[in-house]
Amino acid sequence: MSSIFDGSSGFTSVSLHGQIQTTQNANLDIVRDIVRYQLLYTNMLKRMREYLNLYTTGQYNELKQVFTKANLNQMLAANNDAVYYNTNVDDLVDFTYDSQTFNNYKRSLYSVLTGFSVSVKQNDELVSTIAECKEKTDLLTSKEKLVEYIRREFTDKISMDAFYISQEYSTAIELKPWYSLYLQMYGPPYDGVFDAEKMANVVEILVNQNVITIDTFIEN
Amino acid sequence: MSFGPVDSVATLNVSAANFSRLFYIKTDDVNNLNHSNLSYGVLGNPSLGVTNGVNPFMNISYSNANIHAGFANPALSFVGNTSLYQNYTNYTSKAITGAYALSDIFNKFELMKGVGLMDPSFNETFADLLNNASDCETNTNDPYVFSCKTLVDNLVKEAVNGNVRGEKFLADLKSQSDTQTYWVIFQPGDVMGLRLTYTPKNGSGNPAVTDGKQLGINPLFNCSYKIYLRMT
Repeated sequence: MSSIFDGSSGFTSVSLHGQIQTTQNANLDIVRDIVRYQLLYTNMLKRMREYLNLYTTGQYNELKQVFTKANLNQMLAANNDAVYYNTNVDDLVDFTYDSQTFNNYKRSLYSVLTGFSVSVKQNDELVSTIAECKEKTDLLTSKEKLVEYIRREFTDKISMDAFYISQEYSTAIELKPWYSLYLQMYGPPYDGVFDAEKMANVVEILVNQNVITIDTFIEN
Repeated sequence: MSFGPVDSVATLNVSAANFSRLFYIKTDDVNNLNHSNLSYGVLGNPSLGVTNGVNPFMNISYSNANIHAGFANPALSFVGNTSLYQNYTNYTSKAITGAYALSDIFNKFELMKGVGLMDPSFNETFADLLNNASDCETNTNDPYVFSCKTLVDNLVKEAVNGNVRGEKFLADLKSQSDTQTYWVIFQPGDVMGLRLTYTPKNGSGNPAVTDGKQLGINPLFNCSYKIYLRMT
């Protein structure tokens, strides 16, 4: 529903959730903030979601295509204060209330959380790989270390492959309830990082069913 | 004898002395070893005139071996303190989720304990295999007797080439008083490779099932470890 306001009146009618309400200046400021939140979502978070979706699914080449310097600069330019604080916003020009705004923010923030998890995982792997590379580089760039390594690993000792057997691992594999339900509902997570929004849904279901408590989830 | 590809490589320290009554040779001329005067054996038994063989695989905790390569979670590798039981739990996590190789998706203590509980069964299997092999002196079709032959042949070759380890092997033989049976004496620094395979309960290539409930759709496969027993 579209409503246009002049913003100058102390009392005016604002349409929220299909209801006409008498609104005071304080309430009008709240509405103006809603305008700003909607603009911020369109200008910033909506585009970030696209980047985050590509990032959290490991589509780096596609991300590189769209997350260009020009696009970054465009986003920065489109988000200065003048965009959010101007007479059009004050007057609620062409303002259409979008009841999905809160959900859009929530979903975007879940994407950010998932992105954090991916980043932490990738950083750990990077640190590990760098450490391993350094170890190998040290070995390959020092004649003494290389000779010592070959001697230690291949010559002055017996090295043999002798026995080969297999056994069944019979312990029952029990997943924590939220991982179990997540896998049932959504299947394995992409690249092993559980989607924060989907996990939140799973936890909500389990809490509502009294299978777990929030404390159980937090502590485990 | 060489193993095929494995998922991970681990090391575990063991006593060299415990392995020095495992492989033996029989010869009538310890100063001139060659194929014509050599027979090879594992453990031995009284009917073969070999009574002091000792099974070294009695109380080995394979689950405590330190992972050196093939970390289920590479991010943990730099810490350098991942044990096999932790790695197997991470591997299971990775298999079920597709990549999330952390044990916190499980009630992990039971799972890790389960890996440790497999140690005695591996030891028992080794004991059975060695017991079977103990009767196979000279039969190099037996894989363990063949391992003994390969080991001794290589050491003799090393000795001929003047390698320190080969010469030590010959010196150890000559220091033994038995007139015909000579044990291969392991030394600190020697390494013996084992390959252990952990098979999922529902068979390799199938998703895990607990209490009739399938845990996702990803299959679990056999997980093989090459464990280097480092003699100390």
